[in-house]
Amino acid sequence: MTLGDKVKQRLKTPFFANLVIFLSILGPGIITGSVDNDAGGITTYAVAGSHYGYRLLWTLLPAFVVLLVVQEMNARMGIVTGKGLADLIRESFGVKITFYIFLGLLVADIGNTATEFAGIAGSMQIFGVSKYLSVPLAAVAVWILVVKGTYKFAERIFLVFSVFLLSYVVSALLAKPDWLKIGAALIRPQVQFDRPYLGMVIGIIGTTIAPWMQFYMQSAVIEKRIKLKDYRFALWDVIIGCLATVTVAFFIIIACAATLHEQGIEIHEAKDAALALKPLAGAFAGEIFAFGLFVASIFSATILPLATAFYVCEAFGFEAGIDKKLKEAPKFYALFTAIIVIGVIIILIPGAPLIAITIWTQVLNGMLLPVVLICMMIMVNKKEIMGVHVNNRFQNLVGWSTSLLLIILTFFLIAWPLLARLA
Amino acid sequence: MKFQGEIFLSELTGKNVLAPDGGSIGKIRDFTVIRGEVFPQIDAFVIRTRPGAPLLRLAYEDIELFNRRFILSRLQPDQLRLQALREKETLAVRDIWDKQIVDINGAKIVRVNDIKVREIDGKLSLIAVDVGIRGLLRRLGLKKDDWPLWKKMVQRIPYDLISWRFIQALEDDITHLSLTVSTRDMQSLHPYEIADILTQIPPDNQAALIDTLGIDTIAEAIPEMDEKHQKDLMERMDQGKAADIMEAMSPDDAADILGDMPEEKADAIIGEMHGEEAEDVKELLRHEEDTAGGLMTTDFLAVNPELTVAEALAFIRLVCAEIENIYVLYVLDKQERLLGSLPINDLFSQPLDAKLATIMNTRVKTIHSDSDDMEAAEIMAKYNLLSLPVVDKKNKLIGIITVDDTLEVLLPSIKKRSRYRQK
Repeated sequence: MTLGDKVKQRLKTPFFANLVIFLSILGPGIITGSVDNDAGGITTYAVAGSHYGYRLLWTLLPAFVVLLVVQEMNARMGIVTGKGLADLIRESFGVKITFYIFLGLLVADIGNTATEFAGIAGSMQIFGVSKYLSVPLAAVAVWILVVKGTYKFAERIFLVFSVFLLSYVVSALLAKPDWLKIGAALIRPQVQFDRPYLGMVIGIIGTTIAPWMQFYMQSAVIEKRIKLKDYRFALWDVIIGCLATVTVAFFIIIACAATLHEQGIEIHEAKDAALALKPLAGAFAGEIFAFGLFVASIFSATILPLATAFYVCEAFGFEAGIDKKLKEAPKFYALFTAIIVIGVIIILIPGAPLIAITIWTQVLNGMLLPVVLICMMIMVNKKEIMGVHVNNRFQNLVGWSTSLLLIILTFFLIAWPLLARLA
Repeated sequence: MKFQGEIFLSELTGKNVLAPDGGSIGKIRDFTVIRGEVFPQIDAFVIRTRPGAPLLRLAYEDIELFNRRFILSRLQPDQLRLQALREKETLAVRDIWDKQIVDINGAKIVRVNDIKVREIDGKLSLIAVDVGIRGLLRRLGLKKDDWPLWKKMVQRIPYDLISWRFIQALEDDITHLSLTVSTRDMQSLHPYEIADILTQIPPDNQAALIDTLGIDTIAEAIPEMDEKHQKDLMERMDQGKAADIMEAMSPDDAADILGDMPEEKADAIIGEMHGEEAEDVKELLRHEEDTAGGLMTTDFLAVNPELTVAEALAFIRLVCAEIENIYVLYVLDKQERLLGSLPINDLFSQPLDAKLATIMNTRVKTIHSDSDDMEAAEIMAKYNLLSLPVVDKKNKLIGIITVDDTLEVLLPSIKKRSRYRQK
């Protein structure tokens, strides 16, 4: 028996056959889950850890459920219809609604992209690199990766990037956290009813689910051409992705809680966390943290403009896809490039109102999220679209209550910073 | 005739339908579509008489006349034969707007932004779908004529219409559209129309289409494409196939295309072509594009003066299949110098045993290969020539210019006009 035969023999056994299928499907969920921990997410978790210690860890559980429910719907819609979310919205709700949703998404995503570049600038400053060097270089690298690479290549790089996000685990372990306290915080959550605390809860749940991610997720599922019979593997991909998101968030909170909070240091930016970790947990922990922030920001600075260009083209019938050549999909590449360029310019303008841009981007994200979610819920329940794979009662219950919860949270998320600024 | 000219459906939706006495009947919401002889037809306007009321059909025959401003019913409100919608009726707005038009293989192409209609033989027919930015703006209500600057900008956007002739329904209800690329239909199209379709479909599918249509059909279609698309197509093709197609083309068309390609690539393709065809093309490529030599083809009928009429006719029978345009027989000496010419119809009126040398026309209008192409066109127009021989310094016949080639010199806009654009 040759080696090839042995391998074939092995493949016949269900476990290995399943493993191979799973590995080939692996990607959309994990990448989406990792992109989720972008500069904005890391900032939120770091601030939460430094302000409240372990007390907010419990919020990761509902965040996990919400993420899982929404992304499972995305994967299912993608597999059943073979169409992207943008496609479905355009076909179900017509050009007008689509146009205004996408106009909003485009503006929000330019802001989001700028935030990612801010993350790149901040993390590289810790290594002593000026933002006038790091940001343009990163932008060029991102552009080349997408425009000159192939989807397979890009996806592989992204999967490797996802692994780097686990560096936060190292960083947290170096901080020697108090595991007893962590366990207690998870089992018996202490809920406070003051504005800053609830604001932070909203922030954590809100940052795990962004409107543009839904589009990305579904497009990625389609690009993989996953079939209905492989749904269970896609589901595992989603579950692992959600777990990855929550795990990384968990360790960021722990890292910051174990050091900064214990020392009474409060931070406001992700970069501050890296700086503050240095003397407390050793220079290594700080640098690992900064490296994680850099990888996460680059990762999201790639996916965000890509996803945006993708779904805008999808909705309006322009040729799109990074497997296409530049001249085969000119509108797609023009959009992708423009989003990056505008994002970079915003960050590089000396004295640009970065905080205002971040807040308004969050507001826009927040306003669009319920709109997108409601569209999703309506479509996933339409027989003409989903056939027998419409939501069952349990999925609807979870889906609608998630939507409702997110709408309420989003409302507060938007209203509070605005009220706070007015006050 | 109730309606003259062409109109887009988006210009009708929302409009009031008036009764003969000027009273309002209701607002147009949609259009029922049935299969027609060639084009699908609009069978009835779908009307809502008041907000919240059920949708009703107003048969097209009950409409007196309509235009962009008003729609007049033939019947008084009390005579109206408004009917309820039937189940499974195809509605233009609900079922066709915003949907994708896909090619047979399922790759997406474009989205239906709007539908153009025209009255043909008393039936209102769908004649084209608008897939362009103009259609998008029209649907969004952003095509305002009263904003002069905006109007000017919009006018610069090219039309992007696909004739319904190229669209077929995939299923019985015409809601699943596809471009007609079934081989049977394609073979019966004019090469220009095949070029149209080739230009429209995504590159991936072009290759598939070329394979199904066969080399000869494609060799006729490619010269009809505009330069940019031609270049894209040829550059993507593998050399062997490109060489096969070039061989099947008339040498002047092949030379035109190869002349536009990067030298290396063109050389590689010529290298794969067969000796004789390759020589012809190389010969043609030696001439500048704007000269008589650049315009000519090496496909011509040439014989020696010793032949009789009967022998010449036999020769023509033998070679006519390979020569595109047979208007004139050229008589050459042993050094291939031009001695005279004979219009083919003269051959038929001469005794079969007459020697060509005795009956040929010896005062032949010729042009030197370095002369300006415009000059060639002028000579042909002045002397009413169907073909003009091109000679070198030694009066050797190296090619002919046929009248159809001069049309491209005189009317360059025809060739450059991009596909599918209608006014």
